[in-house]
Amino acid sequence: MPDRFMSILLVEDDAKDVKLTLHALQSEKLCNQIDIARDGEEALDYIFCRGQYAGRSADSPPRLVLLDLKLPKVDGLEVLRAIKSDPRTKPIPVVILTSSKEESDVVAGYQLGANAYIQKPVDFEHFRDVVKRLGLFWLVVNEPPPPKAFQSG
Amino acid sequence: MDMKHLSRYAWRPYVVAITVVAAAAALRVWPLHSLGVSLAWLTFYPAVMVAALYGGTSAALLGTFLSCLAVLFVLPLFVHQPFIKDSTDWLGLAVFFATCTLISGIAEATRRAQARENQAMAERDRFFTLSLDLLCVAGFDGYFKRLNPIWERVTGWTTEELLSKPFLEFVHPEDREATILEVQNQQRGEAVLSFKNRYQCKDGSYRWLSWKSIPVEEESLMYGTARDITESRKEEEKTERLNAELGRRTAELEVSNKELEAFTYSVSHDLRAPLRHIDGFSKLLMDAHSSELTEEARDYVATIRESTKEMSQLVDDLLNLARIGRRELSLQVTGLKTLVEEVVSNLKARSASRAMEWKVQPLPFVECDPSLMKQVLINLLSNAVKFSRQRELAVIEVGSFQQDNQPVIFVRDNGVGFDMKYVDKLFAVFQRLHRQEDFEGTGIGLAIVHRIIQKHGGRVWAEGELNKGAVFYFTLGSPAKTDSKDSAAGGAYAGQVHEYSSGRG
Repeated sequence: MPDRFMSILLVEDDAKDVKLTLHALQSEKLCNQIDIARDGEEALDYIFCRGQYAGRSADSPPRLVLLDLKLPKVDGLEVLRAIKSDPRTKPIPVVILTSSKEESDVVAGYQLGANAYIQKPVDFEHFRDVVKRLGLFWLVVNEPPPPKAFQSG
Repeated sequence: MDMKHLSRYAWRPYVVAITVVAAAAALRVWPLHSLGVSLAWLTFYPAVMVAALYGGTSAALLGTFLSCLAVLFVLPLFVHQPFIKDSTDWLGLAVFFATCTLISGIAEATRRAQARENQAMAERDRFFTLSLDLLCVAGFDGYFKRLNPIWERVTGWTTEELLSKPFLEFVHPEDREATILEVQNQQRGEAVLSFKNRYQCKDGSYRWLSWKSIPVEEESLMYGTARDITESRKEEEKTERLNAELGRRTAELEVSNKELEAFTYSVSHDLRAPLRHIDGFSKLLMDAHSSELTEEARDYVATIRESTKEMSQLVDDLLNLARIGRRELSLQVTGLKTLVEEVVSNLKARSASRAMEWKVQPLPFVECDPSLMKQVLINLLSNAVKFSRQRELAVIEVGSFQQDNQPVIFVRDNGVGFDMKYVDKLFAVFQRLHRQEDFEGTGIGLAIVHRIIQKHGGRVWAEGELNKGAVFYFTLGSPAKTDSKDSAAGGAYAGQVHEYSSGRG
């Protein structure tokens, strides 16, 4: 049974991609809440509980962030940098889930502290499989960072 | 300096000595007869001096000696009494002897100094005349005082013309101010170590001169040496122009490279997204609404998904091709045999159901970028696998031979081959010699092979015959310089060989 902290933040600007990703994630019933940010700024507001998310409790960080790179306003790498350079959010697992595997993106992603880098496969069955395994690993197999991990620094 | 000259020179002092002493003795005996034996040495002092002056040391010494003999033994015969009678006379002789020896010494020293100076002068003059650089002595008054002959050759003016006007008049108007400044510096005692100006020639043209000059203030003179650097200056200007041009082109290339990078980046992100959506929603349609679709509609959807996959492969291949173009080679000596075996075992696994015979001959170690080389082998070998799939037993051979002192690697198959009249199209992007339903593909694989081989400075070419098979050859690095163009020794198909040299865009 997923606990109440089992939420995923999906950062994705493309509505069709949101639909497909949600479809893939929900078909496996891995978590009970998927929040969606449609641009980099919204993602940062969500994570740092400000702006339209000012009411959100900082005590319940998402268990996983699925981050697209090409985003309006603040791009994905900037979002990643912000998350990984703040001790309060650094432990949140961030998986880059994007269209391209341009070497420069992969390099920058890992240098900024991404926990994984995944290119979205064009083949939908393949994509669904990847998302399923991704969810299984990060939400079930992986030991999440305990609350203490977010207080350090 | 012949022997005659030497002997004449050698005899001269003695002739001089004997002559002057004889003259002195004669003077002493006849015009000065009235003096008697007093002032015995009167005429002999000048005689020795003359001998020293004209004959040098040896003449002076001989003259001294002969003078003593004359006074002691010859003159007494004419005045009928001895000149040397008492100790005073002997003292006179001693004084004469000592004085004259001293004179000889001084004469010699003077003569030598003079000779040295003359020689130094002559040497300086010789070098001055000989110099390839322009040498000059110029006054603080602005006029040349002395010029070496090369001035005439370089400027076309005669020396007289150059001396007749202030030198500033020959200087290019634009360089005059700077030249005046340099002259003023020299008037203050500073040397000029590096200065360039233009001098006008008689034909109106200008020559660039590079100067070095030192002033001698007490003489109000400047000693200068200049070199004609017109030619090297021209070369320099040309090089500068070429460098500027090169810089401009490099900048342009960098800009277009950046644009290309931005383009491929955008393609790699944005072109794939719609494909993903088409495939995703087609699949969802099939999953959720399959029962509502007719057989025909389901077939259409399957076709849509098929096309999406093809396009996705195309985008990947194109991006791959673009990336190879941008990529720097990281060369290392690589064993091709190992690389081929890796690729072969991979391909074997993927076509396990087929009857295939692999013949991998020993292959050389070559200097290449191993990951790109692997890409070449993957493309060539998977082509061989693909185009031989209609054979009951596909035979694929990889080997090498020496040609023009460098190894040629080849991949041969017994597949469908191709008609040599289409060989031109083989390595071009998007060119395919088979229908998509016969052999799937994007038409980029061989273009990638060509690009990689080209980056290695090698060449790639192919031979084929319809329904018999194909051979692909490649080399790495430029061939040794020989004219022999013996057609690929290991080639299976004689005749026309088409080459794609590394120079091909």
